[in-house]
Amino acid sequence: MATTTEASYAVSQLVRIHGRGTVARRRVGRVFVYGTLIVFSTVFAMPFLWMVLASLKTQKQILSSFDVIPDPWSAEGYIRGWTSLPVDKFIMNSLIYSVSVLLVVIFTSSLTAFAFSRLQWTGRNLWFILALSTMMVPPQVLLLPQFIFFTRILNWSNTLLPLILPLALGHPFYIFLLRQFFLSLPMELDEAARIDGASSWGIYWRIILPLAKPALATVGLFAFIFTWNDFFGPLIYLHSLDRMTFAVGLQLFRGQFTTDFAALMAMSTLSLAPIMIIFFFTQKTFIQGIALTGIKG
Amino acid sequence: MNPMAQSALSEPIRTRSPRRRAFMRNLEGYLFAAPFVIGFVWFALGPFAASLYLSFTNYQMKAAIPDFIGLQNFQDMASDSDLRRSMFNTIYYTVFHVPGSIILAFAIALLLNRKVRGMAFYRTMFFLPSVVAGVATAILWLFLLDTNWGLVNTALDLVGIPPAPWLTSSRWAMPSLIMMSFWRLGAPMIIFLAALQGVPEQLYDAAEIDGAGRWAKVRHITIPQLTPTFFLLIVLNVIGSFQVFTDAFIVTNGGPAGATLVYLLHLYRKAFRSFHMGYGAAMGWFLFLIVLSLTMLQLWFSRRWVYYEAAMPGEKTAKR
Amino acid sequence: MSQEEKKGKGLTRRKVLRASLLGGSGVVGLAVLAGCGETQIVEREVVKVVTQEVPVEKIVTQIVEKEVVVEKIVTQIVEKQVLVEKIVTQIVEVAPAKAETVTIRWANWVASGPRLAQWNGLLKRFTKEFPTIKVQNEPKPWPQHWDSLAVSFPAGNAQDVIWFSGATFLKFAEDGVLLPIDEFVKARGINLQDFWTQADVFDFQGKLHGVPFFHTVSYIMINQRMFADAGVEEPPREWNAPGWDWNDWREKSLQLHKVDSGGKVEVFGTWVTQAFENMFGGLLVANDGDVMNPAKTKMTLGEPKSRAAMRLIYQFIQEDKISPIPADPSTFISGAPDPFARQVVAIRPWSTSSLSNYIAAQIPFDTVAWPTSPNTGHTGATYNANPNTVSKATKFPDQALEFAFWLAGPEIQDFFGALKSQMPSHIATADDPGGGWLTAPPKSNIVANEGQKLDAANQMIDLRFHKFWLEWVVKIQEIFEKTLIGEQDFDEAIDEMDSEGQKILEAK
Repeated sequence: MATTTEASYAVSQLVRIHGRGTVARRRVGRVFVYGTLIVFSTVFAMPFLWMVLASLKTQKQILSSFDVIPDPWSAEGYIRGWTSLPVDKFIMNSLIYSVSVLLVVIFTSSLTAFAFSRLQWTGRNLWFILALSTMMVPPQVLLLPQFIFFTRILNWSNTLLPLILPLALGHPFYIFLLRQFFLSLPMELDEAARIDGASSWGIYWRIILPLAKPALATVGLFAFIFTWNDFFGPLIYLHSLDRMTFAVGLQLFRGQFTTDFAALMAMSTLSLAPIMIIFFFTQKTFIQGIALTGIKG
Repeated sequence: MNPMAQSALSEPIRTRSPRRRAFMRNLEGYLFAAPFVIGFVWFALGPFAASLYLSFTNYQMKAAIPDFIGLQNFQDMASDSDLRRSMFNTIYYTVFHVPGSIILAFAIALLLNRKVRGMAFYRTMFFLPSVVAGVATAILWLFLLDTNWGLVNTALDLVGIPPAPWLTSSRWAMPSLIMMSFWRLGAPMIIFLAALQGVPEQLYDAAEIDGAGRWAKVRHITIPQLTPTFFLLIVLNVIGSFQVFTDAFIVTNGGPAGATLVYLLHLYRKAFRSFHMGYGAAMGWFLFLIVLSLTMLQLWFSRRWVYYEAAMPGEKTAKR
Repeated sequence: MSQEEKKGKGLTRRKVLRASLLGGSGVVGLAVLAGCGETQIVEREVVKVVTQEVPVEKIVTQIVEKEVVVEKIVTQIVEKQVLVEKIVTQIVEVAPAKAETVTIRWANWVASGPRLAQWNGLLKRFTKEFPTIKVQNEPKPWPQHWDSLAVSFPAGNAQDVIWFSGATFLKFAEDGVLLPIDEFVKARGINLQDFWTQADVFDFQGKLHGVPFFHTVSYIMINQRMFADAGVEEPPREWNAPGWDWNDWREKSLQLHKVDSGGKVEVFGTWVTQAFENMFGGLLVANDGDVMNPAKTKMTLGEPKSRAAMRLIYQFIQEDKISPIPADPSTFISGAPDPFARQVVAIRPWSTSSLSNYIAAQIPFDTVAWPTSPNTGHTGATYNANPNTVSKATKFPDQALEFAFWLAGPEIQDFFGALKSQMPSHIATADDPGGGWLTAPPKSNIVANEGQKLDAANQMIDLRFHKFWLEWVVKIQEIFEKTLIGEQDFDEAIDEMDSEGQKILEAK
């Protein structure tokens, strides 16, 4: 193992020295990369930037013009948004929902994905297809039976339970994502470990999970975003204002005839903050050069 | 995972009788898959069955269990011209959205996978529009695509191109909707980025020694290595775009003249606006059959082009 | 019991209570108040006694000291004084069942957002007036209110009081999940003529199912600055006034329409759309046309009078080109910066529903009447009534209705009137010049949007009660839109609207 690592190091050094001749070309390339990044990220971030700017406008300006720049700059949206509805309660409820799902779902989804990718058992493909097929029935069609099931049979009304529990046991999307990732790790890893006497649990816990950090972080990010932005679930299952989540709560600024856009935009901007924090930590795991040295080479 | 399962799994499978070995292997499989299996049986099975039953009934608000009407809903679907149109619109969307968004997301992921200062910032910028609330984006699109005063038409006018009625003609509405969908590439982009981390560096180094250029490396190393991810995204995107709803609901409301009436919007109107919940369920299960067959086809085809490192003995995988 | 009576009583009671507290029995009163619902009733009645007799105070003290149940107290009181007996009997009558405080849930989409604090204050006043009824406010974002109701009714989990819009409530009434309220109305002697949206609007198969709450009426909004700039005379505010018919509308719009040197439109003269409500519905009635025959068996859009009314809209958009083409999404995203709010439209025919937006946008505008048809000399308008309804499954029908009628009463109606966010359904409030509301259109010319028409004889064509109303209106508007954006011939489109509409009318 050690020798291959050294060899690959030597190779990369060689490449580095070899490539030194084209400094000018590199500089041009660098400018090109930065240019593309700046232009495209601005274009892509437009909806976000627009929302942030809109959140700093007055209600009058949002209603009466398409102007981009706030005139005058105003915090009325933030003030009215925060004070007119129990936003602190909304945030608390959303955090309970998102964090509890996030913590459990990474574990449960990866377990199932492990079974679907690195274990051989009868019924594996059937269960995998079953898992996939649960995504193919439109959620609107399931809403009524699910609601009756949770409120009438399980008696979970006006609580987060019907939202948290089913999701925490694993979502096909996350399972599929992790399965694909696990499948791209060489089987030799498992075989070597088994020869050394490792159990399947050991392989899962000590070999696969550490290698799958970026994918696990991605699942965590998606689970957080999904629950944080979940609209239909809380809308149907939660009734009173003190139980409401942020995603539904901030939509209460929309009315039949009028929408308090200043408050809506301000609270929407605010609701992006936790997603940005989680995203930052997720993308930190995306560092090229995973520790796979020694297996291939 | 409960402690009992752990103790059962901590024992490596020893060679005993073949039947016992098979039993242990199956037990292990089910124990690992237990969270999903339990969740499926406990939470999903009942509502799924009930919703299937609902598709053979006429919904009434006063009763949790509505009247059975046999295949009536499905017969009505056959003569529903809006359903045919919405299916056409959905396929139109899918045909452009799926390849377009995957290629674009892959290109962006490659760009964002470089070692450049401030990358965290750029990644955030590309990712954010995917999580911006629907109404906020809707108004932005109005502002960009308004026929008379929109920014896009103003810009086109400056270069001498005649303005297009983006959201106010049945010809341009669907292309506009597809274009909007390309702003929400956050998820596939992140998945690509995560998968790119799994490509061993040595492969690139070796290729570099062979004198491979940037494009050759992408073509011969990155893409083959990422086939499982491409497969994942194609399957997920097909499922997702057959259920496209939000933009058509908020930005265009199915219009103009029904040009963006997508399948799920039609279903939603039937089930939640006209309260034909039974009919909606029938539509939902019809969609299920279509998407399931498409997915099965893809699973079958995937053996020819998806390369898995971790192929089981005796299982087929594409050759590298 | 009418509102005024109750209010009066509440006041005196409170005053007297205060007096008695000052009188030294404050602690006692508080102790009684802190007790259960039954004792609350005792406190009420006892206070009444205080105004008459001094010795009662002693009795109250006794009650608290001994902490005995009501029946026992009754015996005690009767034993002691004859005078109090009467009142005591009253206690026994009033006390059962009602004495317990109940919580009723109210599903709505109004008591939220920036108005939540004000509504909480209003609801508190209700609880003060009816101490045994607590209201739990359960607002949902518009328009997902229906999504939530569609699942909560079959699950038996619907709220007690539910706010509806005129069109949607019919399907619910038809499915039998709403409570008929005639008996309650009769028992209370409520005069439905006090409300704009009268009994017949919420009538389903001869039974009343809704309590008036608020409504919207067709109006025309004009940008006064543009009229001044172009030197065009503003149309009259009164309905059916001379000098304001369809031809005047077109003429003024042409004068107000402004195109810059590059051919780009600066100001649109007017802004018409494919909508039935607040748009061609009113024009049809003005021209003595209609969408279908009174028996609801045949579509009549193709008939000359109807066709001519529809043609006016087509003419403005496709021939005169003095209106933005419809399908502009800003028109159906509520509160989006629409062309009139952005001040690029001079005459905007629509309804009172947009007023609060335009007030918030701070543009120089006013409302005027709809123009008359030159062929008939009268006008037409639509209105949309929003009732509060009571779920049939409610455990507390009386309390729920008490609350629903309180919402129709002056307190809430004044609130709407002051905000100009919703048009009050209470006629006295809506017409009150002090409230600064608008002149409502003459009753003889009103069509309810959801298909209801009140003609001069006060009879109505209740298309609303057609099961497939919603599908029907979506379909015909969609076809109309196609011709208005120039993708179909006008006459062909009208014929298609007739035939497609007919299909829905004939569906089972």
